[in-house]
Amino acid sequence: MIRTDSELSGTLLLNRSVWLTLVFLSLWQSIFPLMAEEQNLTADLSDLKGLSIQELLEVPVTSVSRRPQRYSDAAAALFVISQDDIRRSGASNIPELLRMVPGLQVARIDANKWAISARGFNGRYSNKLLVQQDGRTLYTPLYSGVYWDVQDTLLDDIDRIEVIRGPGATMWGANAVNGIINIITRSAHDTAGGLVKLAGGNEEALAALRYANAVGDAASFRLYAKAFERDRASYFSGETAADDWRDRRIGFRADVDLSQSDSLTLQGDLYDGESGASIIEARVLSEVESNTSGGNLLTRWTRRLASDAGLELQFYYDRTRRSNWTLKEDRITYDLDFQHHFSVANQHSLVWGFNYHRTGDDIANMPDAPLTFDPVQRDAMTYSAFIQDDIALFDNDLHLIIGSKFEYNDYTGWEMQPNIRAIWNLSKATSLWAAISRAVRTPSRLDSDVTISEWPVLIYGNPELSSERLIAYEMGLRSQPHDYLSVDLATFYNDYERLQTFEMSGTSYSLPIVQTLDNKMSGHAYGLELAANWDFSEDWRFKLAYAWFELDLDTETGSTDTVSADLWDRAPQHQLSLRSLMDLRHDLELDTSLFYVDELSNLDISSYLSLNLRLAWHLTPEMELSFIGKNLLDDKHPEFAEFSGSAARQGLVSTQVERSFLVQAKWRY
Amino acid sequence: MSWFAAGLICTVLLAHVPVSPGRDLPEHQIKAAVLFNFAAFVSWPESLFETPLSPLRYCVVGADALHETLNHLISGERLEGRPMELLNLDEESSLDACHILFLGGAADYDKLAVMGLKPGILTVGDSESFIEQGGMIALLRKRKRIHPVINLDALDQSRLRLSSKLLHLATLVRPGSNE
Repeated sequence: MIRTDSELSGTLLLNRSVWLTLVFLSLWQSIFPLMAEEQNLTADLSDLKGLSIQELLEVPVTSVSRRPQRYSDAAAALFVISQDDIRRSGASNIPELLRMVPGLQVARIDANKWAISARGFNGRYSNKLLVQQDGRTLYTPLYSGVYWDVQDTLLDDIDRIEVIRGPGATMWGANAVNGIINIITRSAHDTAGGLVKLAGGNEEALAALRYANAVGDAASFRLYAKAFERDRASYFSGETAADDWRDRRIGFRADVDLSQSDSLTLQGDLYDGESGASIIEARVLSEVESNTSGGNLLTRWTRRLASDAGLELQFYYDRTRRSNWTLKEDRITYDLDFQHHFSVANQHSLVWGFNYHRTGDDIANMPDAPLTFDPVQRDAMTYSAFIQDDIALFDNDLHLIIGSKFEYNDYTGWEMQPNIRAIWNLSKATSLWAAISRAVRTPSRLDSDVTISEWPVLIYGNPELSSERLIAYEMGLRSQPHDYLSVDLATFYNDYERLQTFEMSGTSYSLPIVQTLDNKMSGHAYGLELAANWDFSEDWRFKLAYAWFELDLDTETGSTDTVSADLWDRAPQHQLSLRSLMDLRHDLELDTSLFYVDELSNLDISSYLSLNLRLAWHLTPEMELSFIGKNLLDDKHPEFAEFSGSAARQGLVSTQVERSFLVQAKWRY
Repeated sequence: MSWFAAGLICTVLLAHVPVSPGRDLPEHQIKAAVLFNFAAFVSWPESLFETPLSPLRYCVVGADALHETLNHLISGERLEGRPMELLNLDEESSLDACHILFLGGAADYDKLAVMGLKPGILTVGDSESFIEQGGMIALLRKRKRIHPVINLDALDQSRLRLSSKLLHLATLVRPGSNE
């Protein structure tokens, strides 16, 4: 009964928020008339006018690859983590950076494992988020999730991280269900010079080096090496855990201009790491370790055909090896991707492409481990094509975007993932967008082929599973009423079908309890995400992110599953982050981030408030010394757990996030 | 970890180069701004202007996006009292009225007969072949930056003078002489 009430009020609230948005908009229009329009355009170009010819010749220009798009033109809930955000966050890894994004749930399970998702369904095995780095897929087809402990690079070489909440399946393919994270590293042309970075504190130590240079007129390269070690955190009971973590990696990137219209990128990484964990089995706590290694090689050729047309062809090879207490996995992936974009009659911007993806694994079952795979080796293939048209109407004030992806995979056959989007530029400073899209999550290798034997429960994967389906309705508003203020608001309603469940086979009175994976749950999620920037002065800027999220999952009639609805309902209802970036002096920066994360009632994790501080001193333009404090408000707090307090603990043991201090020195030469 | 150590050593041993920060901007915007700036570095014979206050005229062929940006950049601007103007060209227009002519990748050089233009027009293009066909300045993309290449042969044959400041920033070539 209570659920129905909250559901009803939730729907009302959503309706109310939509109405409020509309009222707000019409008010906005009357308060800030169209004058803002011209100011904005000339502001951009006068920046350009102010540059001398020497300066102009030093500005990097975007080489056309994927369709270049301005942030304000995207008909989706987009958030961009810039180089400046990265530098001033004091973060030492990618998951920590993602905490500033509204609508993402980031929680640390132990010192080397995270639960990260967009718009709910969070967990260690979150499976509805697509993560890419420079066009290479980072999630593992093993469970459609990301092993965050092996995703890293030199953070100073990241150009930006683009995060889209909501489906992006039309462009990006299956599994881009609830969101996409694109980590984009800088071109080798932009990182000339050397960088030495050393950091040490009570929780971690890090050393990194990069060297980049030009070769002749047309080519640049860079090399990097990075190694770090993180200390053990503590269990919820307070005792020291076994989740220490070490990682080493090297990599390179080369960018070559083959001609005025052709460019080639070649990049690769090699890594190797060990991450510890504690597991409980039959009430016995033991310390275990994951050993991970891998490498990848990617090449991308882009040809510019005209100022609004281009081709891109990309190929990569990726190998990952992981051995831990449950399995030993060796995986090789090949991926070929082609894209072509062009304009027709100045009104249609078309983009189409195809992709071939092949992944093969060899999974050795560990003795006494609860997980076994049958078959132990499997090659899986996906091929797909997509087309999308962006139609400019009413003198470019309205864009209608229609497209679909057609994808074939070995598990469920053909899947179609269409979307329709519109963005309406109410003025140069304000735009409103809306989208309806369909996305699917195809079954993973685990969903299809696993057997989990954890007495008295025996769970079988199901090769006959169908895809989990989502139809998402989204709407958003972006506005920059003044140079110093911008607001980005997004609301969504997600309708899920055929979500995975554990169904009882046989009688429930005999042991073992046998369950098989099936698709018998549906539900909906809705929420609101807000990002705002306020430049109080040139030297003091504020950035706010807020997200409100609700999820209701229900198993279908006839389903015997009693856990899945709670299992996936593990996202905070409210999340808030407030960052302040302050330049105390020309050579002194003080940055503060405050995060509030609501309780996770299904996991008995209480709400928490955390504070990070960074004080950076630029001794010379080449040298930066910074003092960073993280989670300063308490000694330690838990962020996530694999089980709720009452459940029998079996498996991975979560740890707490501890207060930490770090001194970091960076020298560019 | 021998490969790791090797990578570390490689990275440390290499020498040094200055750093360049900055955000990426669309190529056509930078080229438009460079064209806007060029006017100050070129001197035209007085005879190419009707009066001391008659406009300095830009023409852009085969580059719509650049045309649009340049239009915004020059609006209301003057150079030594001359207003700047961007001509709207069609198939039949004569290029003789132009002072600065930009021929983009989409322009058909043969048809435009770069060589046959009036000698007082500063011709700017964006490819190496533009220089080979007698164009004066090519704005080429080099390691993600725009870099001017100046054809001294074409310049000698024209009645234009370029300031030494511009010549210093550019690569100078003489495609006519066989080196």
